[in-house]
Amino acid sequence: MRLLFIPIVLGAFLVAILWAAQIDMGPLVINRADEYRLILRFGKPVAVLTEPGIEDGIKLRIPLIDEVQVFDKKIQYLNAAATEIEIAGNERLIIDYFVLWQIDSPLEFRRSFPGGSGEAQKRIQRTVGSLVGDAVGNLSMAELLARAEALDSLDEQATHELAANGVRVIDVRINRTELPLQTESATFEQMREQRRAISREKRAIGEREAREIRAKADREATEMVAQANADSEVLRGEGDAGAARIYAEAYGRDPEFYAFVRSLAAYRKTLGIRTTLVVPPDHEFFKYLDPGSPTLAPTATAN
Amino acid sequence: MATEKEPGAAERAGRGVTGTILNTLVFLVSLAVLMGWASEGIYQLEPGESAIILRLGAYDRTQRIEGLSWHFPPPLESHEVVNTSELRTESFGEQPSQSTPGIPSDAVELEIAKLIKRDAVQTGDGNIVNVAYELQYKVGDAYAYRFAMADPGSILHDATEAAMRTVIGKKTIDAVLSQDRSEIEREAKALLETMLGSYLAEVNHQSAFEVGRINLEKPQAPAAVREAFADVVSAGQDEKRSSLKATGDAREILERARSEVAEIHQQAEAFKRARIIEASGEATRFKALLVEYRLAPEVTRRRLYLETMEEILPGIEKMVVEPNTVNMLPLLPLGNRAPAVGAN
Repeated sequence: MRLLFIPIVLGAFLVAILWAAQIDMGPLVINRADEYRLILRFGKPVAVLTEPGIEDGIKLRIPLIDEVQVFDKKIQYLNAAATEIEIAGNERLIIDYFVLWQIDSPLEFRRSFPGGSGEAQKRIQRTVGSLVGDAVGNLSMAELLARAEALDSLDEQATHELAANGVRVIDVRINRTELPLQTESATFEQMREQRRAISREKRAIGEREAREIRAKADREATEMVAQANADSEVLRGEGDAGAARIYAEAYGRDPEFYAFVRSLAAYRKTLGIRTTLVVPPDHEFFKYLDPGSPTLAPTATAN
Repeated sequence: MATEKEPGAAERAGRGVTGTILNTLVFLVSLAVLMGWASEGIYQLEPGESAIILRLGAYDRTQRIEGLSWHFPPPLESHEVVNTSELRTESFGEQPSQSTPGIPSDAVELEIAKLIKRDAVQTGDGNIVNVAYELQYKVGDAYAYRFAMADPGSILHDATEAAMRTVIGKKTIDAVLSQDRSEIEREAKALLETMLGSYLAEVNHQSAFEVGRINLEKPQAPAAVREAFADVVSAGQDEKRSSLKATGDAREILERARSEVAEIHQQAEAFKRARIIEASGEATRFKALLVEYRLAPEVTRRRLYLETMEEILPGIEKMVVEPNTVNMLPLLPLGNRAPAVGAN
């Protein structure tokens, strides 16, 4: 125990110093990866620790005299309140955006915002808010909705304005856009009208298609019937021709006799009840009616 | 501070009992301090968790061995535990989210904040569509998640919202309602990953998040106009129906035409056959008569003539006139009588 006494007590003493540093007390200042540490001696900055590690991240201080202030190095999220903004074309829109920022220089930050982070957030929101208002004011609705490129440089502009305050703005982004109530109902009316136009067009298209289909069928039907009629004429012609051939072949055997027989058939057909026939008495038919007629002579035969 | 162990205690230790007791006390306290300190380095990891070990405040290593481990006690080394395997989900557009939209500073802003409807999204053509989606993610780089961002959850939430709304803001409402949802999901995911990557470019670390996928539910037209949208669908059905009906009509028309064609064809065919058959019949009859005629031409001829006359004459009004009595002609009431046929 005697041998161990001195190292153990000394060790405990060292540990106490280290442990104190963990809660920013004692003579050691150890910085952390996600923090900045500022050492102030009666308000005068004597050291700024921006990086962690054995070379840059550890400093000695005089306890009780040197004050250690800690600043967050992490990216901070700031959700700006949604605001109604006038955009190009006198349209109004509610936009909601968020800002990501980071302390770039703890010393400048401390000088600008002695009240701390809350004060800084108010300042950042004001600055970014007016930048957003300017940028959005020149954009049309469509450009704004598509998040035009004009909005991409907002972070650089904001960083430029806030650099003197030790703040770097990483991103300014519009996450939501909303229509004010009165505009919204107009938009709904517009949407309804748009849909009605589409419905009417579709129905009209259907009607047109139907008419086309029917008219085409009618045309085809007419064509088919016309073609059939033409074909039928050909067939009838063939019939006539065939008949003519047969007649010619038969009647050609004795054309004179045919003329005679055919004439008789024609008389039979054409001479009817209401016909008056004027016949001379010496007509062939009456040849035997007059006994004095020379034709009665049995020697002579009618032609 | 535990600084009550004076260095002079070693000499006084041998002088008396009081000294010995004091010495022992100092020794025990020191031992307790050392052991207490050393035990600060013990940490425990559950399955899926990672421990980031900082040495003197700077990133040193990431430990993934589950169970009990030990590192040099703080401030030499310290640790932070992050669950890197858990698949986390975040939903958008269903309920008004609990995340406050900024810090409403007055009544007007409060009113506006109430107006914000979580699932209404404006499309590029100025219309509104209701969209609900879900983000699945894991912690990517544990160090970036814990040490690079103050409020990674809110950043991820708003960045996802911005990405989705930007993608939809570039499309027309018809594209959003009809397009393949997976395309929107893909585009939103790509944009989100670009955004998250750009935030940490300076820190030289990988993204704090590993974006799994964005699940987009079927976008809906807002309730106020849903009826008009439904009518478009039924108009489409009407369109299809009327053209189907016309197709049916067309089939009927064509079928009727075909039957008419068949009829015409058959009639023509019938005519042709009948003509030829008739002709053959007559020709046969004539030929037969001709045979008889050739045997006795004169007699046959006269017989035929007389038979015909016999047949015709009974129905005919006959006038027998001398050929030279021409002057009586005007008395004939020829005009009153229908067809007068002169036969010589």
